[in-house]
Amino acid sequence: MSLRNEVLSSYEILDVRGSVVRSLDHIKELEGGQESLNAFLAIADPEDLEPYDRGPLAGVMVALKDNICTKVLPTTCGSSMLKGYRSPYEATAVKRLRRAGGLIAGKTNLDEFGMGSSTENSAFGPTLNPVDRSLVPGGSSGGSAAAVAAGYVRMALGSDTGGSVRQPAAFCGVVGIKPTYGRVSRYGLIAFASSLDQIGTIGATVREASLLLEIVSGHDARDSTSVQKPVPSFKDAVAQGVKGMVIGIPTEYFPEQLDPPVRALLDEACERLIDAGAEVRPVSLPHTEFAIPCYYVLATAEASSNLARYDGVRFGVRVPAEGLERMYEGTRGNFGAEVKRRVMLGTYVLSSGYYDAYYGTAQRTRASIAHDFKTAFNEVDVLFTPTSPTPAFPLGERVLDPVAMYLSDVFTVTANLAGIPGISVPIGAVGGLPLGAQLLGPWWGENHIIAAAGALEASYEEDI
Amino acid sequence: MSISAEDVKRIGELARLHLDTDELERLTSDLNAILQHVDSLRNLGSTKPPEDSLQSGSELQPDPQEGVEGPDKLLETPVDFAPEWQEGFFIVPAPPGVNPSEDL
Amino acid sequence: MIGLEVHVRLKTEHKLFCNDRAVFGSEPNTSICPVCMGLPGALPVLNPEAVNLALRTALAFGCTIHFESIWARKSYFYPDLPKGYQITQFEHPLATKGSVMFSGSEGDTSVSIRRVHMEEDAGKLLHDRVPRASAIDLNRAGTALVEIVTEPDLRIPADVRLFLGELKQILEYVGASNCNMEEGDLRVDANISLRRSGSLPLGNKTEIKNVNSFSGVERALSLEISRQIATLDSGNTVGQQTLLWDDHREELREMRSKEESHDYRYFPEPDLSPLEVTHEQVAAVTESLPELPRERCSRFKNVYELKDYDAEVLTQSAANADYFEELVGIEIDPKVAAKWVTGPLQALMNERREDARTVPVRPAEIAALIGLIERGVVSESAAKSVLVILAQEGGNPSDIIEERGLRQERDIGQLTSWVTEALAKHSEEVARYRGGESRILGYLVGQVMNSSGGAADPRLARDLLIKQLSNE
Repeated sequence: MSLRNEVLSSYEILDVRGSVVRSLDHIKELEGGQESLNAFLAIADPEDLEPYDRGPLAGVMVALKDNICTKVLPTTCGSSMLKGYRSPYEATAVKRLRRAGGLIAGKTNLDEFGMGSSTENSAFGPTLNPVDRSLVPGGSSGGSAAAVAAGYVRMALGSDTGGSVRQPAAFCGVVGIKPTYGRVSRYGLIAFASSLDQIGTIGATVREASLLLEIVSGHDARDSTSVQKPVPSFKDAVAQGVKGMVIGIPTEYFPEQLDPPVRALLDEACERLIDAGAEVRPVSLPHTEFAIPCYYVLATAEASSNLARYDGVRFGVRVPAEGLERMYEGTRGNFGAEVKRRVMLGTYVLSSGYYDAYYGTAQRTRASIAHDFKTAFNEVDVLFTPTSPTPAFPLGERVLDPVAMYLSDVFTVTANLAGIPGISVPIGAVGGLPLGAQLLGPWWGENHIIAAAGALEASYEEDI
Repeated sequence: MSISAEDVKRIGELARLHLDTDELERLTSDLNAILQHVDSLRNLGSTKPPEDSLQSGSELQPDPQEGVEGPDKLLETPVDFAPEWQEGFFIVPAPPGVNPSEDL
Repeated sequence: MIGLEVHVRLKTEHKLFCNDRAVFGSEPNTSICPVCMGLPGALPVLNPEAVNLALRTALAFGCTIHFESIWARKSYFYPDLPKGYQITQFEHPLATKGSVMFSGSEGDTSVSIRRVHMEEDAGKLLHDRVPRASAIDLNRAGTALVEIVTEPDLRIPADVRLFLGELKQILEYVGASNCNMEEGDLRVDANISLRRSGSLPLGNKTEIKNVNSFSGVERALSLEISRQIATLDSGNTVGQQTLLWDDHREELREMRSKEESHDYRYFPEPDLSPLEVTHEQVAAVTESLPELPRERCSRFKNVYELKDYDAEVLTQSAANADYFEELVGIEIDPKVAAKWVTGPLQALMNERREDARTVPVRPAEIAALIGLIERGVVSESAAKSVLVILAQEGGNPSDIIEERGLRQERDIGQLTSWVTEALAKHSEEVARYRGGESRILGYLVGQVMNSSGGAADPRLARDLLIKQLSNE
């Protein structure tokens, strides 16, 4: 039986220390033994945690993906390059979470530097899916999703560059939200692809994921890409309902190849939304087929540049050598295979002679994809799609076939390319494995997708 | 568009990644598979996207605020995380073509 | 054909993308933070003061300002470049198409400015701090620079030096930079290609880097031109190359080819939005620009009727010119003011290593001193000592004169006795004077001054001498 931490309401005066210590001990025990999911790379010491303040998250333990800088506990990005690295500063999202009373439970496992869709690319071993340990939990925020699904915590922060919060949430049967680009500060989020990355939240319920998002959101002067837009109450949107909401079904996201059981669950979810008062319409997003190649050109280009700082000179692991170039190469040999692949691809598409053909074209494609969404949102309030073509796949099945791995992101990358918010919410199981549906909203429209997800979740809960 | 092993080697040098023969082979084939996929982008031809399509609405603005919480000052010296540190400097092997003093 | 790339450090209080102080000479690695160190997760935030100074620079050259310019990443690996890329501007710089007029070896010459853009500086890599290894100081990393690129309009090495002098003056006038060469505020790379007169194709371009002084640039270019001419004369062609100037040995050496083959992989910086500058901003900066050096010099010649030389010396630095004009503003005759600023004041400033803004003696005090001289209260030479005392101890001129007994002696009786004494001691000079060498009078005046311990009023003394000498 997994330990459940109650979500505390604000301003309740409770002695929570005992329960926090018990929770941490329990996590350590489970993660340290045979039954370990390898969800956590580091677990907090109760001594390190701040006194339990009042606030919306008072006493609530939150797990953090290990590419988010914290001052307590190392930040490794799942990489040998940063093994043992202690950041001298903490991310703004972490600061806000702590100011709201939240407690850092630990740092969770991820695909190295956020690059991957299965958490098999971690230098510290894969994380297992709590629902079925022979399967991947998804990635790259697999550790955070598994930690929530296993009940170690009820909330976690992850990061989403091409679906890395939504897809693992779907694979593990929990809720995951990627906000609008610019909603949450990236200061202290170790960059993978700067124009695509956002910190996202994972929660046991829509309400918990939304509450955490509300707390970490907001403009930050330290991040020039964060935007001065007021943060509405996301948690209040959860119970808003969908009466009168117009939901678009983009045909490109429901290809022939979708398995019948998957399709059946999606159809059922749609019906439930209609029953709850929504109207459903087909729409088209014609540039969808170019999304994956576009994403992989832009994301790898930015990544190749963002990872240039890992050179063993000022921080991180250094492989000593005779001469500077040898030291660079030896040190950068600490990157795993997937990271190397992406850095190489990114370097190539930016190199002289190829920039216009690849990067230039991809930028234009990106603008077209964004425009598709803009047009669609003139007609509808939110879009409804599968999160992933399939539920969780077995460990080892795709890790050696990069293209197959990349294709599993097909429904999620478009939101990052366009910068729009997206949420994945569980809609049942296929062969015992959780399936998630995704709701995409217009820029700054988190409220709408949260309302729709909340309505769906409520509908399933009523069945119970 | 395909990429040769020579190209891969050159890219490896640009990115300061040392690649042994196996890796070179695997990477060449991986990259070619990916690039084949990526080439579908070119089929879009030179369709210019509509004028008003921006990534995140038109909301990206530079921050005009001054003096607001800037980045954290380093409260501890880098000695805590620097791989090699002496006399207040980060130490590295000398770059090619430079002969640092033998004695001082 | 010679073109220049000049990197200038802007004198902002903070670095370009973070709040660290842009300092010189402090302990290594003490003005750093996660952003300029390139730590994981850190992000750049633009410093508006740097934009303002860059605008002042570009507008001083009459450039066209682009209301939207784009930051770009320039990637390469080097230990002094923390992020593995430099944030700069590439395809869309802040400003283009300006010009600078200067007094060249063949008269007034104009140089076109191709572009002015902003970028961050790298740290310092030192090879003499630790045995057998290199040491990195990141204090300088992230400092705001402006890069000024000229068209290849220059032809003569001496003109390059003169142009750079004018450039430095302009930058100092608009307050963009301290232009302190020792502190590395200004760095120059030169590109040169030769062409036989009459033939069309331009020779290959040679780049000269690592020059630290204007005279160094001139020498390096002269050397390279001679070398290239010799090469062409012997029927060979000049290859494209990069050369480093060694100031100690006064020679150019080839840069190793590995360092040259850079593919910088420029792409737009995703962490920053495009740099936007408004019409209002440009108008405000344009209005606030001071009179530029050449204009000021002309005005000094015309309005104050100063000699060319004096006008040039006075306008060499904005501070001196301001000081001079303040003096004139307090009703001091321009020529007198010029004499004082370029003479005793300059000597004082040199001695004390100060400039016209920091020297503690202010125009009002010099004006007072000049007034006292004109009223005969103190002699010019005594006044110079007063100046020094004012700088060292403060106070006011009248008090100092009284306290130190520097009052000029004007009593005719006392003066006459000194004059008589001097004449008696120097009969040979007296004879020479009477023999027609009228200039020897100056010597005699000096002798009277000596006898009086400097207190005699030299003008009165001179008059008395003449009277006595013509009497006998």
